[in-house]
Amino acid sequence: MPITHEPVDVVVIGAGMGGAAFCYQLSARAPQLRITCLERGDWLHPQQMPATRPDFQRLALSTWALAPSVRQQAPEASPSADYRVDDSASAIKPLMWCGVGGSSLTWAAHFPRLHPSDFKTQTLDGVGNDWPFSYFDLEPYYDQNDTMMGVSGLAGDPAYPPKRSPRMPPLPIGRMGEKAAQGFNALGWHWWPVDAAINSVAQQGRPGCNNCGPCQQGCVTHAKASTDQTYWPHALRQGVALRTRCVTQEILAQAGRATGVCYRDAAGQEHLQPAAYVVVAANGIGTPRLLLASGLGGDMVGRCLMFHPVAYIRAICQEEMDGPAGPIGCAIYSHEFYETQRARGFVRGFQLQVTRENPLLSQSTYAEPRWGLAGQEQLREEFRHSFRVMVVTEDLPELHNRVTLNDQIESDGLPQAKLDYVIAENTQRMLTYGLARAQEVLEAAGVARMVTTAYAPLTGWHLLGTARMGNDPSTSVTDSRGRCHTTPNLIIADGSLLPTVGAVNPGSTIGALALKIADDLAQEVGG
Amino acid sequence: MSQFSPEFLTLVVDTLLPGLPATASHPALPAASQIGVDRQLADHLGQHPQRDRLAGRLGMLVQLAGDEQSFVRADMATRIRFIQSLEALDTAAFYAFLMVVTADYYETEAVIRAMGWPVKPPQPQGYPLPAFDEALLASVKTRAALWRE
Repeated sequence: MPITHEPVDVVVIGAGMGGAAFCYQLSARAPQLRITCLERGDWLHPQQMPATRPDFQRLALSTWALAPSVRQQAPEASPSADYRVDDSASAIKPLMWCGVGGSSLTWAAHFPRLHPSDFKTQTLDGVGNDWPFSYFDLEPYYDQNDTMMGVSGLAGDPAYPPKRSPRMPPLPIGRMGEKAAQGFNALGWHWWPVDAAINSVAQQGRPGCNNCGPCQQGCVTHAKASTDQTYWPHALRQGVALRTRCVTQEILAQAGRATGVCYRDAAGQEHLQPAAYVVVAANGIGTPRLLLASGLGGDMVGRCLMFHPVAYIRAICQEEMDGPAGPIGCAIYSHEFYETQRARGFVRGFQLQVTRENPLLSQSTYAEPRWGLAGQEQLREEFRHSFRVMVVTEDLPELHNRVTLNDQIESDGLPQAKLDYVIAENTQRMLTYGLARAQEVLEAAGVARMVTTAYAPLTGWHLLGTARMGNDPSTSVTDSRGRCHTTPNLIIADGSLLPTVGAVNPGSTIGALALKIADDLAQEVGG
Repeated sequence: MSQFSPEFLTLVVDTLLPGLPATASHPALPAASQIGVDRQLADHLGQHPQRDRLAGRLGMLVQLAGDEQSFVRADMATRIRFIQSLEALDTAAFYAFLMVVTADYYETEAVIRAMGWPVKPPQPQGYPLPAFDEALLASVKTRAALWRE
């Protein structure tokens, strides 16, 4: 027999980047509202994280691996509330973390914004769809999100309009960043030190980063921003109720209106939570999975799944680099090839990211062969002497790339999500061109040896576009305020909303967007 | 007690990770058995959560060789071929097995030290890195805006 709770004004599903920012903003702008958030996972504590353990290397490849599919095979149970995804028909495998803070717990915290052109790809380049608002409409929320998360970086990047939000000093780029910068400078190409949601100095009660390395296995010191540390303490003080280990089973609806949700707690007890508004922020796979399981949102739900396909070159240098010291994510980036130039043979563009080496055990998996004398010789030559230049491409929306449901019911009570995804020809041309440019910059930097990875399937960090915004209900799921066209009090507030995705990491945009969506709702309800 | 002989396990891990002699720029890397990876593998076969899978790969290797003694008596080149066959048979399963062995090896103090890295977990000390030198950006700062309205 389900337990029926007192009705609330707003129930939010998911406590990650989108859900956290949404709950914070709505509770600040409309404090009279009763807001409850349901999160399938739990809080993550520093004691659980592996960075202080001598076996941290193997944990990073098992219990704390980036891919839930790997974690599910690990000897020890992962703290992430993972669910299985059928990715057998997807060229890119999804990466995510399920818990309070979502994937911000295990992200690399690279925090770029989209470019203004990313909001109007159809108008400018005849591809994709324009967003229902502009970069400059979102800009105040980018600024607010920067302030809430805390950003290290450097003002004045010519690849962007001026950013008004304050920044901590840039993170160290290390020897490998300087080496790559020499190459970019020799060619006269753009590069810039990364905007990162990582404290370079102590700020907002969190310390400065001590360059320990494994950001993607949780940040023990909280120098790296994650929404459990940034938005959630404020949201809870503002009265938001957060119920963890609660898996939403269905969004309930009647006569074209959402009426609440049915969820299951950790003990398997069913609950009914009536609500005037239902907000879904369960990421680009979890959100369509729940909408489809509930039969809500219309025919476009799950379509236009986008990642950011990646290829990379590992640079092996004669001189010593930094090894696995410093934040694991991007140190410097180049947007030289971000904007469309059709003479390149593709439309839209890509960024080049210069990233650090992994710990020794992870590096051993790059050796070819992985074992034997040759493998060990290769590893000994490369360790502390390598870094990576990644080609991170814009993915364009295509109807056949999608999330659907299998018949199989998973242990969390929901049908299994299935991904169908192929890398588009335009993207493939971009990857090929990008690898050639990465090679060029490394040659200019005097790199001794390079190893190219033309296809990197385990790079599905960015789960985007599967409940897209738009003005036309036949090509989108929601309007500009995240309201489902079919069910106006059902709101989306995560990366599923993005009609197009640019070629940059989406965390900054997802947070900003969730703040805006919450503001829109607050205005409507009189906040 | 493992179903596989100590001699067999020693030769398996030493074929996978034979170690390297010292060079002018690098100290020697020990063979896996010199730092006890073979004994750790024997322990795993008794208590590792994936012990059945580990035993399965080793059992398959024995089958490929004919029997344990054929693997033990073979020269290095032949043992390498047996393991290459095992790898080709089911690469994912082999890599899972390999990960257990290499994790034991590359988490050992002697190996980490020989690879030139501090023997400590990343926290709480972290690592020092010099601050960013903004002078590197001098030419980039002179560029016109790259972004489009």
